Amino acid sequence: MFSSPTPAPGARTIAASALRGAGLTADRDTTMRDVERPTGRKAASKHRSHRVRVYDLNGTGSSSRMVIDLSSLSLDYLKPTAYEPHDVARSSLPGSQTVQHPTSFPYVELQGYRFPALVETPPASSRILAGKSTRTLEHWTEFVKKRYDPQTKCLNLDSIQDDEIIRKHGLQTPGKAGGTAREAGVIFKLASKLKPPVCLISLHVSFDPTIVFYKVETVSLANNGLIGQHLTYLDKYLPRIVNLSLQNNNLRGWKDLEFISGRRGKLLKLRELVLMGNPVRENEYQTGNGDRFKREALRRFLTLELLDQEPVTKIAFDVAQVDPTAPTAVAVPAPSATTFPFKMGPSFIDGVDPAVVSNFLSRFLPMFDTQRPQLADAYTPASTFSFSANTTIPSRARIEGLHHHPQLPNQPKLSWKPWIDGGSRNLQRLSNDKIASALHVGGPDIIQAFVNLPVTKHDLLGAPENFSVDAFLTGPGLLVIVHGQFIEAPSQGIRSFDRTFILAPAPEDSRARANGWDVVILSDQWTIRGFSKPDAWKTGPLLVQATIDTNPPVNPRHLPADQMALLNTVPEAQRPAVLELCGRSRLNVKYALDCLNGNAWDIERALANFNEVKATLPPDAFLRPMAS
Amino acid sequence: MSANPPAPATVPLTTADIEIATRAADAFTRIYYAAYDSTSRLSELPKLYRPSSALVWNGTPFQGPEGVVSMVQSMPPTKHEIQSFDCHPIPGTSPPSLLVIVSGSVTHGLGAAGNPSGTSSKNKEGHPRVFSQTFMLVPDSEAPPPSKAGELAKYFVSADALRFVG
Repeated sequence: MFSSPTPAPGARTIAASALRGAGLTADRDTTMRDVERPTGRKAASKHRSHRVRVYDLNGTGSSSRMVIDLSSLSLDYLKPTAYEPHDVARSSLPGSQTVQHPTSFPYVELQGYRFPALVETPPASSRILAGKSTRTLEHWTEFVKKRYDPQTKCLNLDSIQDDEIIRKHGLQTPGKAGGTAREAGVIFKLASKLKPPVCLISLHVSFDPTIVFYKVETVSLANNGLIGQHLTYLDKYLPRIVNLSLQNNNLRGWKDLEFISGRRGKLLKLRELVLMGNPVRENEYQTGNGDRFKREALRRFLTLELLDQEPVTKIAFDVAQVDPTAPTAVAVPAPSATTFPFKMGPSFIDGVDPAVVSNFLSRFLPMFDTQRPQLADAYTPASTFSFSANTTIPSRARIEGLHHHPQLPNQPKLSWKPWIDGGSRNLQRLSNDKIASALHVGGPDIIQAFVNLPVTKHDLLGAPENFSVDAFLTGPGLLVIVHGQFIEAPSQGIRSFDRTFILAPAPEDSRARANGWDVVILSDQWTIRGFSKPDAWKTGPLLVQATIDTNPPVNPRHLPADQMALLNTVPEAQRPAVLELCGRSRLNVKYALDCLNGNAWDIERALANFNEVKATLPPDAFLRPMAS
Repeated sequence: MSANPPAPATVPLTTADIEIATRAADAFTRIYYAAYDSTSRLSELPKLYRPSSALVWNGTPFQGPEGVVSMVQSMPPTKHEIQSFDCHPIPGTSPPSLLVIVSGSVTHGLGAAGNPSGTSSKNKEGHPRVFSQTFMLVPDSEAPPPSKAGELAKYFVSADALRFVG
C-alpha cells in the first residue's frame, strides 16, 4: 500500500560536513540533515526562566548566593534597564563582588566580561553550576566555545575526555571518567548560552528580551561512554537541537533514552538521531531484531526524519508550527470566548438516506449482542476492526457519582480486564509489538476477536436519546459514528462507547448482499469507556463555566441541623423541590420555603422571583458557601 | 452512497504499512490538538484542511478551511487530553486513507477554577468533558511531490466529526 521512499536528492549536509570535518561521523553518505531556515521558531513559547543557576563566587555555599547570569557570553552584551528581568533582585548582598553599573544594575566581573548579578535561591536540583569553582567554569567555557562552530551551529562534544583542555586541567568528564549527570549538565548549560554570529533578540518585549534563541542545532556526544543519566539535562538546556549523535556510547535500554524522548515531550525539534554503537541498538541487530529497534525508536522519537542515517518513512501534514515568534506566523486573536458559539445539535445525517443508517445499525447492533459469528458476512476480506479501551474515569461522571450510584448497583462490578486482555488497541498506550496483531483484518479474524470480548446488550428499543448517530459521505465511503451505551455481561454494569464505521454499498453478487446486507463494513473502530450519562449530547445550549442555577439539589446530609429540622416540617413529597431551589439559588431552607410558598411551588417561577430580589436579601438568607 | 464502491484491496496490509499509519496518527493527533489548544489556533488549524473537507461539530456542519475558521474563532480556549486513539488504513485506497478515532477529555475556558463562587462541588459544569472525534486523513493529490527523504505524501483532514460524549 505504501511505496518505499526515495531519499530526496541533494539533501544538503551542512551540519553533517561539520561533523565529518570534526571526525565525528563515519564517512557514510547520509548524515545529519540541514535544517529549515529561518530558525528561531518557538523561542517565546519555549521561554524558560534563564535564571542561571547558582554560582557561588566565594565557594562557601552560604545561603545567600551571588548568581552570575551567563545568558550571554558576548562582549557586546548590553542590558537596557527597562528590560530588567522580573526575577532579578537587585543585589546588595554583603560580600558579593558586585560592581555598580551606571544603570544601577549590579554586575559581576568575570573573565573580563561583565555579567549582571542575580540573586536567587533556586531549588537544589537546578544547581548545575553550584560548587564549581570559577576556574573550573572558565575551563569548561573555553572547552565548549572551542568545540562550537557558529557557522554550522554544530557543537562537537566528541571524546570529551581526550580534549587537551580537559586533560590539562584535569576536569572530570561525564561518562567513562566517572562524571555524573551534573558534569554533563554544566556542559549543556554552557552550550545553551552559545550564540550564532548574528544575535537575534526576541521581539516580544513582554518576555525577557535578553533571552536569545537557542542556537546550537547539532550536538555530537559520540565516544563518551555515556549512560542514560548523563542525558538528564540535555532537554533542559538544549531543547531545540535538531541533530543529535550519541554514537558509540553505553546506552543500554530504552529507559536510558527517556530524558530525550519526544513521547515524553523532550527534544521536540529533533530530526536526526544516531544511536549506532550503543547496546540498545546493537544488541537488537545482533539478534535479528533490527526492525523492532527501529520501531521502538521511532515510537519514542516522533519527529525524526533520519534514524542512524536512514530516512524515516512517514506521512506529512502541513505542520502547524505553534510558535508565535515564527516570522511567518500571522497575528491572529487568541481564543478568548467565554461562551460556546454553537449549541449541541441533533444527529447530523447528510448525503445518505437516513434509512440506510438506521437499517444497518438496527441489524448490526442486535446481532453483535446475540449472534456475533453471523456478522462475518458484513465484512469484506480486507475489512478492518479494532477496539480501544479508554479506562480514564470521566470527570463529570465522577462528580455525579455514577460509579457508586444507588440506581446503578452494578457499576463497581465492571472490570477492564477482559478488554485489555482481549486486545485493546489504544495506541496511546499500546506497546508496538501488539499494534499489528490488535488490528483484525477480514471477517474470520474479526469474528474471532468479537467472540473473545464480553457479551453486550445495546438497548436500541429503550430510550432513543441514549444514542447519538452522525453520518455523512467521505471519499472512501459512508462514515457512520455512533455514541451510546451498552450493558456488559456478566456484571450487568453499563459502559459508554463510540463506534465509527466506514460503509460501502454491498456489491450485487457479494456474500453480504446474499445475507441481507445493503452495505459492507470497510472499517470498524470501537472505543469502550467508562459510563457517562447520555445527556452529554442533549440538544441545547452548552456552558463553558457553571452558573449557580445549574447547581444540583442540595444533599440534605450537608444541611446544618437547624435547616434539616426545618426541612423535616415540610411534607416529604415537597422536599425535593426545596432541595432543588436551595441548590440553584443557594438560599437556605427557610428562605427557599418562603420563596416556594410565594410562587405556588413552581420552581422556575420561584427562581425567577429569587433573581429579582436576591440583591436585597440579607446574608443569612443563604447557605454557607461551602455547603453542597 | 458513493457511486463507485472501492475496489477490493489487492495488496494486503503489511506490518510496515500499519506502523507508518500508526506513526502518522500519532503525529497528527499531537499536531492537531497542540494547534487547537494554542493561542494561534485561528491561523494554525485551517492549514490541516482543504476546501473539500467536511466537518461536523456536535451536529453542526462546516466546510473547508473557512469553515474551520468560523467554527473555532468564537470557541473558548481549550485544553485537550488524548486518552485513547486508534487508526486504520482504509482498505482499497492507495496511498491509504487513514481513519483515526480519538477519545479524551477537553477543558474549556477556565475550567472548574472559573466557576463562580457559590458553585456546588457537585455541579459538573466547567469540569472537563469527554469528547470523541473521528478524522479521515487522505493524501493531498495537489501537494507538490515530497521534498524530504522518507516523506511518502502530504495528508490533510477530509472529514472531521466531533461530539461531546461525557
